[in-house]
Amino acid sequence: MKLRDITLRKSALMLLGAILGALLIVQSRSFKNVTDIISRDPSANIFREIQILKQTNDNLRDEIKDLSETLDQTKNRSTALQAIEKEINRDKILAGDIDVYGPGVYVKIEKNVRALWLIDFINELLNAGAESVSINNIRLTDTTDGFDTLPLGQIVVNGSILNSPFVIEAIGEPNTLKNALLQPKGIADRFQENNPQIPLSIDTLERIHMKEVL
Amino acid sequence: MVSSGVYFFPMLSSYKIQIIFVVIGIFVGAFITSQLRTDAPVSSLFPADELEARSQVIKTFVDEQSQLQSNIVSLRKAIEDNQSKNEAASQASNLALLDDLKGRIGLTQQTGTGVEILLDDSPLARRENGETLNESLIHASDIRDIVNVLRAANAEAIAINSQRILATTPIASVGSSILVNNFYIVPPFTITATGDPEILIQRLLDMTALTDLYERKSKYNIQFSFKQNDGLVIPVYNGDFRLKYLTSSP
Repeated sequence: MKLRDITLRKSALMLLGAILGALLIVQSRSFKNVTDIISRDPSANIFREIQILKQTNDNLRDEIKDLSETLDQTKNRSTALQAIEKEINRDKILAGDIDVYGPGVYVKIEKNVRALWLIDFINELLNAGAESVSINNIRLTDTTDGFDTLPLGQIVVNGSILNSPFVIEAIGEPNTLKNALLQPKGIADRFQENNPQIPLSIDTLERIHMKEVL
Repeated sequence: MVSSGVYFFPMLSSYKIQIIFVVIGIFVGAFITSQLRTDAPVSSLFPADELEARSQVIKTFVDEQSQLQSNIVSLRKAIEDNQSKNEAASQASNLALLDDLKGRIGLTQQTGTGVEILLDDSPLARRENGETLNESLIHASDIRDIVNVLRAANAEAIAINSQRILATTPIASVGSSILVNNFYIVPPFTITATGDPEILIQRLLDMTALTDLYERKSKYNIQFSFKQNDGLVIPVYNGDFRLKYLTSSP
């Protein structure tokens, strides 16, 4: 009987040791580089996929309608000049040659973060239909340089170092943009999960003013 | 009564024998747990018939997109031709300004020297599983990071699988599907960029700028390579321009 008790005790000790060993391995895996647990893109959602494709095709059809009207105008000499002026004005807006205005949202990140978060927030806004985006009053156009990270961690855009807080503004349908950022498991959730110590604020704005790109 | 431990280890005290048993247990537990895969194979998120239905629906939209894009390119060309014919009526300076603006917003083809980048999933990866966290697949975030590096290296024009990239181009994914300009693209992904090839390649070689991609290339055999190309043709943007909320009026 006593021998059995001793054997049971030894078995219990071994089992306890085995559990401790397992916990050690599990804990060590949880200390992996933080980038491993960041999922920067949303999970599968076939309905969302179809919604995006449908909206894209609708937008293309609208563009075709506008272009067809412009083409008709160019056939008539008297309206051709107006069509060119209209196109120039539109292209100046797109190129950043003139100040622009409109409703939208702002995103404020209070402390320093990695550039990838800024890239991802901006991408999410564009994905939700943002028509123009700026960061710390630097308007992002086709001639804007990308985000560069210096050896000491500073983020540079267009030769300017960005200092926190980082304020991203986007012109577009305000509620659509805000909801896209705040959707469950969206970019805001992922950001907070990975940067719990960094305050993040997102809200709509009735009027945003972005200056021309000099 | 003789302890079973003392029988096998006559030179050791009972206390030390207990420690030995615990240590053996720790090693056994650690060994077994370390053999467990952290990313166990995941069976497909969707049954085969759902995948088939999804493919059919996506194909319908994509086919329609191709047609619409083609129409847009044709219309823009026709408008440009008519504007040229009306050059006598239009002021030449207006047309020159228009051409300059078009060049800066992606409405003209760009040719020249630059880099060509090839991105592809690991040869053993299965994108149809819909597993977005599969480290052996190319993610939209990989493409975004590369485009950012190219922009930081002053790339003049960029295209991904013949989709011209603008400042307002979203590069997103829904599950394992990747959308550029909201157009569905499939691997392999070819990214082309005109600019100074030496600077572009130097930046792409910087592992600190593309840490995750280089790590996954090494661990999971993701295909990521690039080379200089002196005969690049970056196509014209063939999508729409959204100006419903943006205005020049204060």
